[in-house]
Amino acid sequence: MKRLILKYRWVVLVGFVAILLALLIWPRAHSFVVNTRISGFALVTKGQLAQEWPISEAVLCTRKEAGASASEGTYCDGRRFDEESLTQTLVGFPSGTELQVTYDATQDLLFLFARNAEGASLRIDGDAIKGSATLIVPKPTASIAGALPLSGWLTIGELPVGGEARLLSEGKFQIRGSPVFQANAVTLKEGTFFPGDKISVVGKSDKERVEAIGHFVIDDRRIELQFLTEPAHSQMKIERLGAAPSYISASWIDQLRNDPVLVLVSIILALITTGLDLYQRASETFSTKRKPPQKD
Amino acid sequence: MRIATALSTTFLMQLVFPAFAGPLVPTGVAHENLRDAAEISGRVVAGVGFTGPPISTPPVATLYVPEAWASEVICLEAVSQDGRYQAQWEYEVEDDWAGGYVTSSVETGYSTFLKEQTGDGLASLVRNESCSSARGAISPATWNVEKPMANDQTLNVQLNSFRSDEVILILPDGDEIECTPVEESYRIAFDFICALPLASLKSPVTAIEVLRIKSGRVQPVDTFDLIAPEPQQARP
Repeated sequence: MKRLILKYRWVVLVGFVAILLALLIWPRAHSFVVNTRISGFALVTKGQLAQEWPISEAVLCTRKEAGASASEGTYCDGRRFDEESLTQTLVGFPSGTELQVTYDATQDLLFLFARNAEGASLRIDGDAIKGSATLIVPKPTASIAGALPLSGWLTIGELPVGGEARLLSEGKFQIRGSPVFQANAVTLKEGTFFPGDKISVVGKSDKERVEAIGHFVIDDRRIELQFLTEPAHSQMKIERLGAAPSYISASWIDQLRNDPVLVLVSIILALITTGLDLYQRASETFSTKRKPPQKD
Repeated sequence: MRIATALSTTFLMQLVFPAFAGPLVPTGVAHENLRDAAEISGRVVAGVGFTGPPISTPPVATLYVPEAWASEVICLEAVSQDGRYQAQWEYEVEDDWAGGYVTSSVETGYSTFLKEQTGDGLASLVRNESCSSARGAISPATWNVEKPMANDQTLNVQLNSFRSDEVILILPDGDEIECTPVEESYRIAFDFICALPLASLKSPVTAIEVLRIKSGRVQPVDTFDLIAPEPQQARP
């Protein structure tokens, strides 16, 4: 047995190291944590998170029926919209609603445009609003107390083409992932965005969208939006005017570099090697001592 | 010297744009590029197209050239949905053109790219102005299809709404057509598509208003002139 261990010790060691390395560099699911200051974003609502937004003062504009006569409109064009004032209202979103949120800091107005190909785009105090709807919140800092939660496919900012108002001013991201044998996530990679970037999180392919959960507050002339994505083999797509889209993801190098297990494994390996070496030398010395003295 | 230059230019033109049998004579003006990233065009109407059975020899453009455009300079334009591909070709219509659909191959450095373009991915149109101008009446053009299908009763109008919430086409008789937004992640060269019934078009030219709504407000109205393909010619 002793001989067997000594004979195959290198094979065992190399095998152990190979398995560990494979575990360490095997692609693991990671999340994106993103913090941005923007003037607008787009969201396709998904998921079970209750997306109910309490708003104290708002104006709801719905499209007029064809042929309806024009009315007075304060916030919306009376020729095309029916206007309704809402107080202490709860705005909800059916799943699949495509939402465009824009904050106009100059006028201090928050615009929510909602559209849902499948039916109701909004729920106002539980009542479904059919067709597309525009919700305008004057003085949103006063009308919206605290954070508004959101979940779904998020697109932060838009490419700064003519007429675009939903722009990113600044932001940063972290890619978080759990090292092997550990439950707590560590930062694998981090970085910042440039003004005018358009950000979304996609899966392995461009068409596969990844669900994000987040919230936003309106603060100091901008929307402050934070979100995180569920752990997946996802990548962040950054579109920039005049450049091809770039995709950011955590590579195996990022994974390895930030893995404390690697340090631990190196120490253990070093100890095992030294131990085996010592054992070998010791046993050699021991057996030579045991040899009967040779006669000349 | 000047004559020699002119002659050699004509000769070069002959080399670059070999004369092809058909009513359209290339004027020599052609721009084409395929970029890594998008370039955004400033016009509202990006393309007017129709559907038809796929053609066996792509890439070709099928465009409707009315009789009224005989001996005029026309510009064929194409832009891909992601905005990366943009192209213009200028032609002169022959003098005794009787009007109808023309299927024309184009001088292109991106034939592999163009061959793959079917459906709404590549917006295209023809205008009866030179390519340096952005004006002119608009007539439909589509890539890699035969003439329109007999049952195709609509034209697809691709619009760049400059990020509006909703877009409506208003016809001269007051009828309104709601346009549908294209998928959110691909709104670059155009962001709305409107299905325009052929029956709603007047012959020969229909002035169509584009009403854009953004944040509850009606944006300044754009108007374009659309040439109606004559039904008897559209459906041989």
